[in-house]
Amino acid sequence: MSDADLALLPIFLPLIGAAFALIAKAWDSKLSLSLEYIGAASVLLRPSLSWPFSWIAVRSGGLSFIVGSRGNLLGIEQRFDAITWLMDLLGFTGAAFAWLYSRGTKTKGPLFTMLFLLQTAALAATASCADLFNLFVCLELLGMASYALTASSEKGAAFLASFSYLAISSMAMCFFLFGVFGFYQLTGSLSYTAISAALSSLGGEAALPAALSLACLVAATAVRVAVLPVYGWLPDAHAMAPHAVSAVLSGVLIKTPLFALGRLLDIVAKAGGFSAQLAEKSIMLLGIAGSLTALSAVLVALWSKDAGRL
Amino acid sequence: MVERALILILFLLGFYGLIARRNLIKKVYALAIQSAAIVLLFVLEGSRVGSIAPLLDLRVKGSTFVDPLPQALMLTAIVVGVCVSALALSLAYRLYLLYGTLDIEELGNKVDHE
Repeated sequence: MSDADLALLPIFLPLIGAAFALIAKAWDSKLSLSLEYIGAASVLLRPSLSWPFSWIAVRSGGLSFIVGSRGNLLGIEQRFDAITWLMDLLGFTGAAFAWLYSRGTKTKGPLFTMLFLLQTAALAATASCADLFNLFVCLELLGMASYALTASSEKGAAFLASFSYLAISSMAMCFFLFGVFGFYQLTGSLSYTAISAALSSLGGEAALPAALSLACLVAATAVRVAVLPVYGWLPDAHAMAPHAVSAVLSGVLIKTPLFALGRLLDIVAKAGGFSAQLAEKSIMLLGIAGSLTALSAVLVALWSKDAGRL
Repeated sequence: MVERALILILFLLGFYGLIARRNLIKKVYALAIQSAAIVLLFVLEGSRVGSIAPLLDLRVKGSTFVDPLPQALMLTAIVVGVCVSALALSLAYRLYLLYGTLDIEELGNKVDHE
């Protein structure tokens, strides 16, 4: 098995597990339970199977590869580096414990397991994106699984929270697409390395379009990450979701878009010139917003009477 | 220029509908209109580099094809948009079954009083 195959395992194993869980719905209770557990085992066993091997690839500087055999022009660039390894470790560990916890609650069953594994696969795919449109698709897939899981407690408040989460996130992703459009117009490419190479050869007249495009991407990510002041959807969604889902949402899922954006900002910064200044300002802005969010969250928590919102 | 302005108006209409409208179904419509505006923007910009559909024909000489990449990307975006709309409508349906209303403010009040 090559390093690229190992790097794709975190994405494909949960997908295969989700397929098992979906098929489990069609069978009787004993076979259904067996298929569901086989599907979930792909997530639970993943860490012990391949983390040591994939860490070797990370230690040697990370791995960039093109998915599919269509070369640079038509293939999708993926990257497996320290960020990916860390996000996968956090995501799979959190998902494994959360799924085990869900076995003792009312929200369980093949459909729940299928959505949970789909969310985990999308998380792994987002963590290894090195292509802007692929990042959009992975974030949307992550979002859709999250919306459905948030509503899976079947309470009215959960449905309303899920709808608000869906509406706000989808609106944010429309702005994300504006950012993708801007970079494609400027550079003619969607992969991070090609964007960086193109930006380094552009003059100062490209600074404003690049700034507006990056602003759209950062703003959309800020909504998904729920920093001040665009965090309105988060308290209801996390409080009304089942406990297992809430743990994964809070612990891993809302951080994943930030790490994915961080990879883009790092590569844009390496282009030098106005790109480096844009990336630095974006990072500074996100840092300020994050600090204010942490401070306001602590103040709100002091007044909270709901353990879920706490 | 006129096309871009019209697409911007379409996007802003969708944005306004999503923010200002209280009916859940109208919010879903507004989201779909927003997505459609962005799809049109991508396809429009892809069509500016050429004039012929990107189908290989050896009789056609020179680079006169439109950019096929935005169209391919927007097929994916349309599918994603349809899935989001389907999920949103199913949530609206379940809320209507529970509370008998699609007004988001009334739903919020009823949920708070539960």
